[in-house]
Amino acid sequence: MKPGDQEEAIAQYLTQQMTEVDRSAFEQKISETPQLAQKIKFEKLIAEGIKNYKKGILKSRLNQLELGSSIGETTSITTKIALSTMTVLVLGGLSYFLLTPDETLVIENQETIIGIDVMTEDKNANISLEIDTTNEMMSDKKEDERTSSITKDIENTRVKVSKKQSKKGSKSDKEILQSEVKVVLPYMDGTEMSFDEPFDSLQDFSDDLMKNRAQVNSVSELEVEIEMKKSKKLKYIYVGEKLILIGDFSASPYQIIEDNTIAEKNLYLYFEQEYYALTVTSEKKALIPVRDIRLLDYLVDLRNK
Amino acid sequence: MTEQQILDHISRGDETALDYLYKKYYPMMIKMVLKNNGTVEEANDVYQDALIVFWQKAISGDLKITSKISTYLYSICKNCWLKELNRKKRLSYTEQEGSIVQSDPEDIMSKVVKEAMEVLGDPCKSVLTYYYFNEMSMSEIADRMNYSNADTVKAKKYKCKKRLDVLIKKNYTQEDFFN
Repeated sequence: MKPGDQEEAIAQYLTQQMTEVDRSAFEQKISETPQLAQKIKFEKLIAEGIKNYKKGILKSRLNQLELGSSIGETTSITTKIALSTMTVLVLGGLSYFLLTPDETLVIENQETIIGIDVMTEDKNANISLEIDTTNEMMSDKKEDERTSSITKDIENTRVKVSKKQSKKGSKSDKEILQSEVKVVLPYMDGTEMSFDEPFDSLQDFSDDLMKNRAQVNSVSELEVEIEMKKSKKLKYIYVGEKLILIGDFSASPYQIIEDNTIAEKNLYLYFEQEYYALTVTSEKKALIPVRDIRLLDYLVDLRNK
Repeated sequence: MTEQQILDHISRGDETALDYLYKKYYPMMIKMVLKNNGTVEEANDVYQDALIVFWQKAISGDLKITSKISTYLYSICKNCWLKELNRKKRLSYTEQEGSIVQSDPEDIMSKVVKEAMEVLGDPCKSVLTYYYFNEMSMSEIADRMNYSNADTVKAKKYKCKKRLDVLIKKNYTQEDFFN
């Protein structure tokens, strides 16, 4: 083998460009020739050096990008939002057996925030971060599952979610509704955005919302009713303080997100990894998933709080 | 822009796709590190590393993505942060034990290669990074750099690598790294 050939073989070996057969033969040769093994070790360092050189270039490119606001600012304003947002997440419709067509969810106190500190978990990555914060979050979740009534005191506010059985002659008017937060990654697909489009951070969007937060109107009570129908089409009626969800909501838990950060209260439904905006309507209206990427980002962030 | 379009841009080596992804998922990835005892600096670093791993896999055709980009990227980021935490743990243990932390040969070589690559300049820099970082074939590099064919690139790459070796070995030998 000529010296040039050997170097080419080493390069191919290091960049995974060898066939399986050639690779096995070459590895056999390496094990028999200590000098070659040493040379490969050195060449591997050079190859890594070249990779790191390119990584350095890419990293400095990323460092020069303007992100709108620093993460420090983001965190700070996010905290502000969390403190000032009059958001109610009704963690409802947990399971099929808990919800029947004539069951009603009653939110007893609207001027509250449920701080759901969740960490997005990835089904595909079987990795567990065994660190304190995660454990804390897990214990929070377990606590929720144990507790007979979801009562959380956050920033002097309190939320209670209970289930009312209207027709089944329940022993008590209110029973426990166990809640579970189903953690999903934000839906990012199908959004048409151009590469040239400037990056609008969530922060900018949140800032807009913050402008009007002083005018928040708190709501006394929202009643949610499920009208079970085996139809695939999901509909709703939202009038007064009553929300009727029509369709098959038995497959997975749903959440009602009430956003009071702006003068006009906005209500959203989260169900099966989709967000739906709910507008006041006395007639049945189809649920249409939110597709606005900025609003989606905002809702994901809001929900994760 | 759909996820497929993003991947197409990456496969063409369009680095604006990297910028786009970086900005798009920045809050999500940074939050994950910050929530897990990381600093802003560490979060930036880990996210950039994760994104580059993703980029490298996508550009070399190694990416077999069955989920959304955000999901995949998140898992890489989580992995990178886990590795960094382990590294920090090891480092702190070594410091407690009073052992001398030896310089990593890879770190030293990276510095040496960086200096040598700057001296080499283009087109050698591009040929070598396309080959070693992007893991592109000779014919792909020929297409990208407008060389007549794969053999021309092969010869060019050989010459460039030789020049790089000379620059490295001017100051260092194999023994400097392994003894």
